[in-house]
Amino acid sequence: MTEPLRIAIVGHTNAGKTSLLRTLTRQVDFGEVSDRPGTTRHAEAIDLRLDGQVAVRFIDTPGLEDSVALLDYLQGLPGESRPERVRAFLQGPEARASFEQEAKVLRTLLEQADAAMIVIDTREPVLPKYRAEIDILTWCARPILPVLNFVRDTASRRDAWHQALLESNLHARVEFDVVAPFHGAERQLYADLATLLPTRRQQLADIVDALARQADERRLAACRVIAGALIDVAAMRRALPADQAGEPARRQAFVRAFQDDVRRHARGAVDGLLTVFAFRPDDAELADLPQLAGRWADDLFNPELLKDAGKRLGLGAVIGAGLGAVADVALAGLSLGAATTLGATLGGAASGGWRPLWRKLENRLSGVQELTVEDPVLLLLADRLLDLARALARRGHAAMGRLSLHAAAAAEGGEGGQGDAPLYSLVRALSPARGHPEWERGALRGMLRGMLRGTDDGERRALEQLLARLLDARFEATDASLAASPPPALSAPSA
Amino acid sequence: MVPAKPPGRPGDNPSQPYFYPPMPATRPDPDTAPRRTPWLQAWVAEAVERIEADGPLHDEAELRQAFRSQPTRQAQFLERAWLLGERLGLPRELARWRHVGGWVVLALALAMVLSGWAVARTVLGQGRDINAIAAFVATLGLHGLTLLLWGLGLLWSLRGRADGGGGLSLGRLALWLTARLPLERGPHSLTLLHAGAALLRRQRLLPWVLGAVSHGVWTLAFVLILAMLAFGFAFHAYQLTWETTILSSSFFERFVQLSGWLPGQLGFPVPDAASVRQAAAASGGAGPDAGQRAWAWWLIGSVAVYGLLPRLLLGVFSAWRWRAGRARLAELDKTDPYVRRIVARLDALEPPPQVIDAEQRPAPLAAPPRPAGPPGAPGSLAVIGFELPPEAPWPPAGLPAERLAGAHPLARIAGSAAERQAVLAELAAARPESLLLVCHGPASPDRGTARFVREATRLAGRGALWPQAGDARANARWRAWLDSEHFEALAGVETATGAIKWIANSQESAA
Repeated sequence: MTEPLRIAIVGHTNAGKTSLLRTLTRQVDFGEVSDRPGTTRHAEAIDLRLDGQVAVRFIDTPGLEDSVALLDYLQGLPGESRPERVRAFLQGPEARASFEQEAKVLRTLLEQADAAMIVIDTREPVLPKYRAEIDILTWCARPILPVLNFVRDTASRRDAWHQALLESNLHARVEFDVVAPFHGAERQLYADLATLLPTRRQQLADIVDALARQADERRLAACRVIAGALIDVAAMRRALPADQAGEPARRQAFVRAFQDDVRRHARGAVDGLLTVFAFRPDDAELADLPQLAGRWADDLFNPELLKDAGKRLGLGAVIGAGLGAVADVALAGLSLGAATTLGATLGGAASGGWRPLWRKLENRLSGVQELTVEDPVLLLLADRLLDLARALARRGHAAMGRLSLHAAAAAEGGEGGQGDAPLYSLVRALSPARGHPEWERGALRGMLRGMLRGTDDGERRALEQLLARLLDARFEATDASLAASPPPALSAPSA
Repeated sequence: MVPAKPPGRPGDNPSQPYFYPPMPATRPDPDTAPRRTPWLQAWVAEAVERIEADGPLHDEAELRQAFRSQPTRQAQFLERAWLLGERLGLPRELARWRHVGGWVVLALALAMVLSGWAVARTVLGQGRDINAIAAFVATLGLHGLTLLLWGLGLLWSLRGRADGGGGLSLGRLALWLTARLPLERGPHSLTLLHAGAALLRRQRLLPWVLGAVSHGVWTLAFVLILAMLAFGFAFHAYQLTWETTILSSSFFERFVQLSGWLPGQLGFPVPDAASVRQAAAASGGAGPDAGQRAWAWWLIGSVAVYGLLPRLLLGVFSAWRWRAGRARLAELDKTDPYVRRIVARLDALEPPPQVIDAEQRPAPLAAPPRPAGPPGAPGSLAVIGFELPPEAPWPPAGLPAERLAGAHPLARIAGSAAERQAVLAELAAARPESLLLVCHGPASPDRGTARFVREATRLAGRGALWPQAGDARANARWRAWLDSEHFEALAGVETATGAIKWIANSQESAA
């Protein structure tokens, strides 16, 4: 059993140290993040656990706020070497008085850490106080990896900082936007740390591997959440008795209840995705994200969007115009009537057995109508959930603002014009679920039927796996194209 | 970290609080509760997952207990499921299933033994004449057919089909019977059965489990058939013959040679061509001689090599595959959203981050004493830009040029120690009545800034701080900072007009 790596996170006040830790450890509620200066005033340890073992112990430190005066003071202290002087300072009276906060940082670095990451807000000009800060940290004779934060900001002074770091003899550096981390930046962070800590190289390589594995698991789990929700929605089937079908008011209420159930499944999937990516379901910031506020859940039945989705599926503009007397009901994306669902059931009969077909015929004879979801709704749902999953996968755990997906959504729209073969195959793969109303989770009726028939859910699981694979392929595809678009995440140190 | 304790059932430790909902008689009975093996734990976990598919169970106590008592996430996950399962009475159900399953397997074995006995009777029981070829088919025919089906089912399931139950095998029959026998059943008993089957199917273990059962039963049957054949041939004189209407005698020679080859390799005597010809029923037969002995050994050898041996080997192989695969069952599938949800809740139980160097806020610094001596001339002004970004205009835009012309010192410093000393020295010399400090609004105020502000303002009659170019949030942040650092004497201005007004104030008071 190897000792966990101990890394101190240092930097000027409000540069984003706690935010970096939240993102690296995927813990939304670690510490207190705010733009008030000096929010963190104590040194605090937080562990990164991989497969249950503590792999890295991060130590969050307060900011080095009074670096100019401290450097001045340190230079006047006795000592053979620079670390000696730092020790002299830590034992002296000022370490408990005017430089109490700074002493915590230096004590952590000298006594408790194998290396330090210095977080730099690149929007700030390179002021003497920052140079003094870096100088003081190098006095502790510990490897230091500068982490350049906010490099994507328009006000970023990346080049000036690069120059300043070179002047301080810091030749390794990582660019890491803690709120919107670059694709693969985390991996690079540990890889670069390995160049500074050659004795820990193997350990860091293991961490990189474990993180990659975790990312894969998260992605696949997200795909399975989406697949589960899609199966639920595709399997949805509600019978409307003949006497109610004739009354428009009753029928409208019926349709509304059905739409609410679809939204309930969508909401369940959103909660599932949040859990997978370790965000809190009740996160106040997350709750008013556009995707989570249910706005797009309403979109699911927006006739215009459905028409577009229908075009993408090659269905033409006949969506919502099912059979018979649907014109008077706002049935966007839903099918009401025996004959259309009969077709779908016939399609699924091979895998679903003939029982559903028999039920269908029975319903038809007794005038019962059944409501099901049409393909475009499934397509929209799959699309939106995938968007959300991608956004969550790349969202830092320090993000406090809104998740903006306009760019991604636009790209998606552009893609849609050329037809959407992968999503089409996804929707087609869902057709067996239409023959299995008992596959819908959370519908008591369905569950009881499943119990009575003595089925087990092997088939449902198999379909879920298949869908998850299809979704995963799509997840990856867009992932790669997005990762290519921003400026290269890391630049080799140019000495 | 809580030290890992050896796993124990909650009932073992009366001092530990344990939550049981009002469900009668669910406490595990040591007599009926099955021993906990990884496979049973995985089974119960799968069943609990299925029960929770329609809504999570209340599991706070179980989750915490699992977290306390087990070292790894996997063990904690299984422990939680097991505790919940105990609450739901699953181990009892499990014991019942095992019970029923045991009886079913026993009944099947008995049936097979009976059929083996019947086969042996049909072979040995019809007088002293035995049709050797018919006996061969009677003993090995059904076995060959079911073995073929099992093999096909195995191939099917190994190729990844969802439903690979080993085709029409005795094991499948046992499972089917166990599921359908109308016995006393708990509310979750079917769920449990499905869970077990699904778990085995997912890990591709179902064909091996069912195979172990059916091959075991068949092995038993063959042992019995062989024993009866051996007994019959040892103590009775039989006439082994063959008959035909349409086949030639060379067919029987070839058949016996081919079928006898493998047993022959293992030392069983094989009738030679002459004795095959001789054994034709039409030829009238001969007394018990070497040829007849070879025929009897050929039949026994064929049953042993083609019947007992493959069943025994396959049974052992299936059992070995099952044993080897059992360890895999307890592995957590981290891509399962349900598993992730539970693991995330276990993660949340980890002790919170540990404060290793607590905050000890020093007493606020006493303001340095104002220097003795007269303050500067009335109306005199100093403007100092502190830590401004390079692109900020200097002198600050918006201030009247004539006032700035008279300002002394009018300096902008980046904040190095030397610059600070220089500008403080200038201030000490000039002792202005008013000091306007211009800072960069978007930056965060820090204690370095506070130190400079404190030292500079004591050299002036009055001071104001202007965080330039900040938005409303930045201004609020600076205001809050001024309060928290006890700079009550320092005026805060937020715009150029505010600064002009503040400067004008001093002129009015001077005038």
